Amino acid sequence: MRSGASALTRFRSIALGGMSLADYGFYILCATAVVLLLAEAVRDTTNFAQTLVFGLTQGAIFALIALGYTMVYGIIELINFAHGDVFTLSAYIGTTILGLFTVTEGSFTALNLVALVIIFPVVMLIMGGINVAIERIAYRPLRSAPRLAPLITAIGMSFFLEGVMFLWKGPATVHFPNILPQWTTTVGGVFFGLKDIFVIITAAILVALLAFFINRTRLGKAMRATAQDRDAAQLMGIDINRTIAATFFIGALLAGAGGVIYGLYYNTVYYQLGFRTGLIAFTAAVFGGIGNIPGAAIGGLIIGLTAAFSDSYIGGKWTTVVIFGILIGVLVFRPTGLLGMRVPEK
Amino acid sequence: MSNAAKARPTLRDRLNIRERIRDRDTAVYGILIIVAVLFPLVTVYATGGTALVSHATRAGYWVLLAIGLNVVVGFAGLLDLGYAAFFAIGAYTYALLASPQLASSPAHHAVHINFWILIFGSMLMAALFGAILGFPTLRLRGDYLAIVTLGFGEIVPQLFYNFDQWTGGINAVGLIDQPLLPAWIQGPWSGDGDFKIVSPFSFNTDPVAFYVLVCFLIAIAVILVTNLYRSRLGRAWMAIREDEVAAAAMGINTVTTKLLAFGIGASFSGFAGAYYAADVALVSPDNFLFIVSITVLVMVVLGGMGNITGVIVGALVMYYLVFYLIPGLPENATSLASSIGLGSLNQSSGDWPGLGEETQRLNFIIYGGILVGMMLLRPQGLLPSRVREQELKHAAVLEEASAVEEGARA
Amino acid sequence: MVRARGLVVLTVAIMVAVACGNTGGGGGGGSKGTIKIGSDFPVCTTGGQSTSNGVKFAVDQKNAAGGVEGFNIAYQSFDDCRQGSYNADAGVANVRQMLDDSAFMGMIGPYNSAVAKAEIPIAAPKNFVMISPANTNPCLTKDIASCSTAYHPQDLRAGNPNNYWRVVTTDDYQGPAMADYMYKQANIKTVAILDDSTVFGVGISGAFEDEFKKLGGTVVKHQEYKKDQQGTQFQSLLQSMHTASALYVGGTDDQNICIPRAQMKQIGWTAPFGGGDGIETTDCIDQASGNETGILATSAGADATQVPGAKDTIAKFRQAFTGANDFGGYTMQAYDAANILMTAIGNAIKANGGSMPTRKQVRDAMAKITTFQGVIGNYGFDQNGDTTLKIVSIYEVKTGLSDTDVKASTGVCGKKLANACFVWKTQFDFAKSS
Repeated sequence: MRSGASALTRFRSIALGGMSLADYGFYILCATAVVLLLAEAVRDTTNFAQTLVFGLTQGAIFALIALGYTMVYGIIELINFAHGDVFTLSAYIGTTILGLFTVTEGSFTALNLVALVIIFPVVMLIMGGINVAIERIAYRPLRSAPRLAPLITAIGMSFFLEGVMFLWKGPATVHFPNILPQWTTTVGGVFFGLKDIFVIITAAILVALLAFFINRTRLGKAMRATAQDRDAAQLMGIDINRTIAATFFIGALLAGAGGVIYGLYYNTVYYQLGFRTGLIAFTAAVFGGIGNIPGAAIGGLIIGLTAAFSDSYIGGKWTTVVIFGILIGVLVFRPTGLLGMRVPEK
Repeated sequence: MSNAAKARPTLRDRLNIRERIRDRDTAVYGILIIVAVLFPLVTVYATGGTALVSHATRAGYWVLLAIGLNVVVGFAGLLDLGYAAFFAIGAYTYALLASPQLASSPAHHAVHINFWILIFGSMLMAALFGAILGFPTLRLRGDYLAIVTLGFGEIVPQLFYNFDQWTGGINAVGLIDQPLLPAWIQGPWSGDGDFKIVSPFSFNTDPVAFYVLVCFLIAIAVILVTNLYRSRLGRAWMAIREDEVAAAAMGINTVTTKLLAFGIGASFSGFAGAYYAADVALVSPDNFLFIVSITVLVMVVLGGMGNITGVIVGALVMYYLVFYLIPGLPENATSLASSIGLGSLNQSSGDWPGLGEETQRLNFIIYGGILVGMMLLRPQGLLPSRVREQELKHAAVLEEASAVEEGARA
Repeated sequence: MVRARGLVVLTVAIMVAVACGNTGGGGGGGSKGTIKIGSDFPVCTTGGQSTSNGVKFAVDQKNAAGGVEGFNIAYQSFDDCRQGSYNADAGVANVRQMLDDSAFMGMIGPYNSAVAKAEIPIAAPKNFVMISPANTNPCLTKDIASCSTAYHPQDLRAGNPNNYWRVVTTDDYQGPAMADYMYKQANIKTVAILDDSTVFGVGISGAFEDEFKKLGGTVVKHQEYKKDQQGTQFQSLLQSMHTASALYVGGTDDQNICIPRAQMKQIGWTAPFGGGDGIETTDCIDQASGNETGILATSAGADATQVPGAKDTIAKFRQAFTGANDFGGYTMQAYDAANILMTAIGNAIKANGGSMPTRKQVRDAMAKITTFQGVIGNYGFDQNGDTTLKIVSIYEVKTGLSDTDVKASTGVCGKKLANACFVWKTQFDFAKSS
């Protein structure tokens, strides 16, 4: 492996004319983006700050989904296309559970608070269970199959979950009760509400908890070990199947929370939402350096901000081009993502 | 590692395997040719119309796409999630250069180039873009490359949409020229019985003519790809697929080889694109979304990556599922219910939307379930490449052996 | 190998099921025989489904009343959805399937103008009558400069006599109607426009923009989005437009066009919100939840609740179809379209001495229909196949309606808020002014 790494490095530096050139290009790209944004910030500060708020909330949600992608990819190298649909399904389950409460929309009551406190753990646990079941049914039997076979079952599971949601609530958009406090304020012309603060803070707490879990607990260590070298981890006595199932479980916890947060914030979901959102979140995971937890969080934020600024300044029809253009640009200069480690593939 | 060395097949075994490969592929090709010849005759006779042949012409371009993607994914092992982009480039190349579209663009002059020339133009154009995308990005490894292709696949249709001055945007390019055969080529496919002896024969949206065309295109593609596979380049692709570092160490220029895989794979997509534009006669950016790339990928993997007959069969099976079986299910369920005396199920009442509607709602579940089920039943694909099948079996044996060893230790 | 055999069995079972399905069917039976009519809608969407219900209702009524000139009418609904949204390719395949079966004498549909563009060239040479209850893109029938594509409608028909009619008036009336209303009656001088990147959305918002500028108004910004790219995240788009004093949206609810209405409140933008007939739906009211009041929508055609006789039909329809989404903005148009087609078939049978007509005879009979009393109004057709009924109605969402008011409204109310409904506001008659 070591000799392979050095061969690759040598090969890459020949193809590119030295590693520093790539970094040089990357920094120029970043600097240009920052300068352009700063110019806009000076020209119309209010508009800039307002867009920043939207971008942060959007990015926080992408980050939560991206974490699930990056964890699963890190451990079994699977692009789990069904993850975005797990995210949507959690919003569907969330709205159904909220239907059991007589919550008041548009204002904040004590019952709303109770519902809010209950819904997060319940939905997260349900989704965790579902995702573990998906892993057991669709991915575990294919662990020694050709690499693309689980990718196809992931796509199949994605359609299946979309089908479940379609059958359950039909093709139309589904309303998610608006039960957060409606308090809003304007600071220096920037309009924001408790909702925005809620999304950003909840997401930040979840990411911090995840980081703690991965770095400090035994199971977290087992995950990192399995991601690095499955065989060696097995030899060290780690139960691989259990560790992988735990990864799926935790990924789904985050997606579940993401789905509920999305529902609480936007109040509308539909059955196809997850496919695309998942795709963008996966892009964010790659952007940050796939398999890298802080990378995924930062990638999610950057993609969310990019989408918001592009929507607002360039125009909605260019947003896709901008996001993926930046992605390709970054990967050309930094082939393993923003924070990706420079290690060769196994 | 010593285990692997011991289990390596001897020379005689290998020769044997090669013979078996040839046998099965020949048989599959034979069946495919016979079916291809009989299909229009039988269906036109049985149904009295050409709707099924028209379906087959559509299935044809999916087969072409699958053959092309197989070069990238199956031979060279590069995961491409944006294959529809090259399809779009091929289709738009033909659509813009063989329709009145450019008359209303800033160019102010319609271009009408002959199909037989332009189909190669589309091919070259797609290959060119494959190379342009591949050149800076093929250094990327594994799924980083996949995500770059995915991004490219997202950008291209959006650009065709955004530059609506040239492409008509969402209004699509319509009235695309049909292929013309020179006046001296006449045949029984001339259409509704009226012989046009002096004028060039036009396809005139006749499904049978397009069916014949696409069969020829597929035959050409298969011959080209089979020869490539057996060439030095084909072996270099396989080497890269199995171990890129080792391949580089053996003196293979990995960048050039991967670039060729990308370009050649893309060129088949351009081929399919030109044919598609001529057949459907309407090219809109909505026809090249991510779902198209995914469907082609499913065809390739399901059919058996790396095996040409496999991907053809995979493409046909998937086409049948996605575009014929599943959309037809509600209607079939309804008529089945009424013919076995459960007609009351077809009426909607209360929450029950009626059997047809209910089946319609089940479509996604059925499709997803079939994908998962088929992959679990045959992870290696319907007709896997024999070489890879042997490798897989070998790997499975090794794994089992190690499991037994482990069990003995415990 | 056991697994492989399982797969073979599964495949064979599926194929047998399909084969059986195909040979079965063909129930019922009129005295003289059965004539089929088809429809081609995106049945996977609520809009497509509710439109299909209109055709089904008309055919059921006709058969209950003894069919057409002794013939039983069989209706078959084709679905042009592929993987979740309409697909022109699928529409073409459906039309080919209808053309293959000589019992099909015509079709209602399609729903989406892009699909019509692909289908007309195939149906025209076979004299196959198409009557669309929902296509509003003017470029399908009219040779006008603003159609940015290079072809002319007669090219679509490739020299064959016209086979395409529609019972709704075109975007070039609907868009301007809202522009007139906003500029003249609501006194709005600056607008922003958002469209959903579909043929319909781009067309109608373009027509609105042209008219609004012609009147002297200012368009602050014209943004576009695509449903699958945008998700439900519209704030940044709205942020770039919020200096305007109204928002016009070109699009349909199945593309989430009404979610921006809810989010206008989230970014603190209070302004009128108007759109075309794609937003005069139940789903739209639900999407705008929290900010429903005051949504303005135009609708091609006179208001069914304003036409005497229509109320009766709607009430009967509601008895037969009880689901919340069974009735939609185009249900009655589809009902009328089906009745027009069946009338044409009836005339063709008469012209053919009471026996099964040919498609050409049906087409010729259809071309001769100059006036038809439908539920929505008194239709006439010009030589392009466009309806001469050029009334555009304007509706507004009112909340907190009493039960009697709800019944008197269009019946298009929220699923969640059942007392928030579209209420008729005013109408423009372009047939009189031009």
